[in-house]
Amino acid sequence: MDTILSSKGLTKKYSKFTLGGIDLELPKGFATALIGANGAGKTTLIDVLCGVIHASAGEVTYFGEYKDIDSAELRERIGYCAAQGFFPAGWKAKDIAEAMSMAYAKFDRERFNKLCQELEVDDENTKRSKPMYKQSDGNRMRTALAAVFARETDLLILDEPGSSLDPLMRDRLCDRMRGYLDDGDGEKSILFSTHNIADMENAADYVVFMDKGQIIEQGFVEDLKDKYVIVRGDAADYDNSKALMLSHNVNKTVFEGLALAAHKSRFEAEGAVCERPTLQQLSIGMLKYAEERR
Amino acid sequence: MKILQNSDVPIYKQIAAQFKDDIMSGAIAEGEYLPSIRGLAKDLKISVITTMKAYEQLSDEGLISPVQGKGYIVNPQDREMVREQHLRLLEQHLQNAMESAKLAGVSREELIKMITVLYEI
Amino acid sequence: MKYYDSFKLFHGKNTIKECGALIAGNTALLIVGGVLIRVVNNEHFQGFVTGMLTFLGGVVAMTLGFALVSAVFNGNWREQPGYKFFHSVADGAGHFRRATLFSNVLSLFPIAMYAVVGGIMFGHFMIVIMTITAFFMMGLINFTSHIKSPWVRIGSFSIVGFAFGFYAGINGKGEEDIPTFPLNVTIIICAILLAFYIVSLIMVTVKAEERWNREG
Repeated sequence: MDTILSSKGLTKKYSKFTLGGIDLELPKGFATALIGANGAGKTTLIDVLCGVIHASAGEVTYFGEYKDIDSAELRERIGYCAAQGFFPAGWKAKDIAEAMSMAYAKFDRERFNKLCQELEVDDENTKRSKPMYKQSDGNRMRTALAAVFARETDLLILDEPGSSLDPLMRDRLCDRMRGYLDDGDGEKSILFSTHNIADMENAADYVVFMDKGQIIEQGFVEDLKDKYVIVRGDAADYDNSKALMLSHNVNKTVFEGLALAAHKSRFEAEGAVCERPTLQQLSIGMLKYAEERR
Repeated sequence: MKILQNSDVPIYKQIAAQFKDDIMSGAIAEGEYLPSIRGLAKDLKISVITTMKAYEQLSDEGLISPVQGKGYIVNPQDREMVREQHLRLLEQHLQNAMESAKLAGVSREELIKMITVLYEI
Repeated sequence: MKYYDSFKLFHGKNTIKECGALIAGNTALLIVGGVLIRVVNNEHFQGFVTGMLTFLGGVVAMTLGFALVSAVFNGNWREQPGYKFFHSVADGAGHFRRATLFSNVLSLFPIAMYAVVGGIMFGHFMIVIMTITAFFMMGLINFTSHIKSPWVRIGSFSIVGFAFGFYAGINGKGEEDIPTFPLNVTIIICAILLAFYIVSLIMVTVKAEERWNREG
């Protein structure tokens, strides 16, 4: 696997929370979904990777060569967008266009305006355009996404891009992400975080699960779907199956949970059924597993 | 390409099966390149890894081969060998059909009539 | 150019134009005031107008400097939207330092204009007052820039603003029997405040990188 970004022992210490050590290998030419509950450390990890905050320890290598996130050349190649409040509250689209042009050599102003129009938000020429603080969360995110997609980059790092978007917009975002990967023909990659993968399943190739500042599982989606199964059965049979299950969900009628596919025949022998998980089911199972282990 | 998103069959298997049919029937000729994995993913609105896995499966089966920098090319198919394989499968299916016929009490003539009707569909 | 670019990064597109408008507005006000004083021959009125315009000059200095430097420092407050954009840009600390310095110079400019035009209209003491105001105000703004609470900052300026109004009222065309400060004292005060300002400038420049990376 060609990696676009690899980290070793990446750590960030806060008084009440520690991220890491994170050992991450992001595959090149694919979209990686960073999945975890709120507070798992996704935003902290992304902020450290993009140089918004500095790591306490550990190292990261980008594109196989850069080790210093403060390199201007590196930052030019990374397209970062925050989850919220990315641009100052009083800025309008034209202020954003101006600042982006100042900050990045490969920002295409025309493309920014065109994207704004496609995403149905104010562009820099809109009369009586509203400042960011007067816009809805969804419009703010669309504007920020227009700004980052209008840059020429090799790695997009998007923090919860879908969270404030409606389902249709999320679908269009997935299309744009696949288009970005297609344009790059294997040279461009994406990392995006989400606490709700359901709408973005079909845009995730590789997935990293996080809980309490640690990575609990990572891998290609198809491989993980082969590695795990969803087990289901009648409540009466639960005791026979529960030892081998990773996550557990039981009521008076049925039980359900995540398990390793390797145990499939054992479960079937006990009268349970096994199903290949969707990414959503895999996520729920993983996060529940982590929660149960705490 | 018709993919069922909610089927029990994983999407990558569906894709592989449909390309396999096209290659076998000659709809995609030998020497032709399949769509790029990312272009296909974009058009089908699925993950890149899914198309890649479909192509890997086809490659494992010897139907296509990866070409550095250009994508996946369709291999020349041994028509005779493929026909042999299909004939063997056909025999197997017919065996199963006859067993079911016996269990259901279907006579040879009725069975032939059923096959004729089905063939017309 | 580089300094202007960094300034534009924090302030968006039109701030320079707004500053220009402010200068033009101030100048017009001064001219009107100056004309009024020559036309209306009432000492109290003249004293009032002079004091008002002096006070106004101080307020403008404070507001402009505060606004320009604040916008730059807002980019370094974790809680303010925009923090992540500015901190994901390359050489953020450099931009921060340059934008702070450019904002400082830009703030002084309208005050300088005010002093010159005011000096012509109202006599030399206007130049003196405005100079003192400028250095002290901007110095104060620089020293308090890292404080997040706007109330603390504005509070300190208001006190200063009133003090200057008082000083101006005393030294301007007003009651003859109120003691005024002699010229050499005024010069010493100016020198001290200039030093105060220069120290504040050095401080914000030197500390820029450290503050930028503080993540606070």
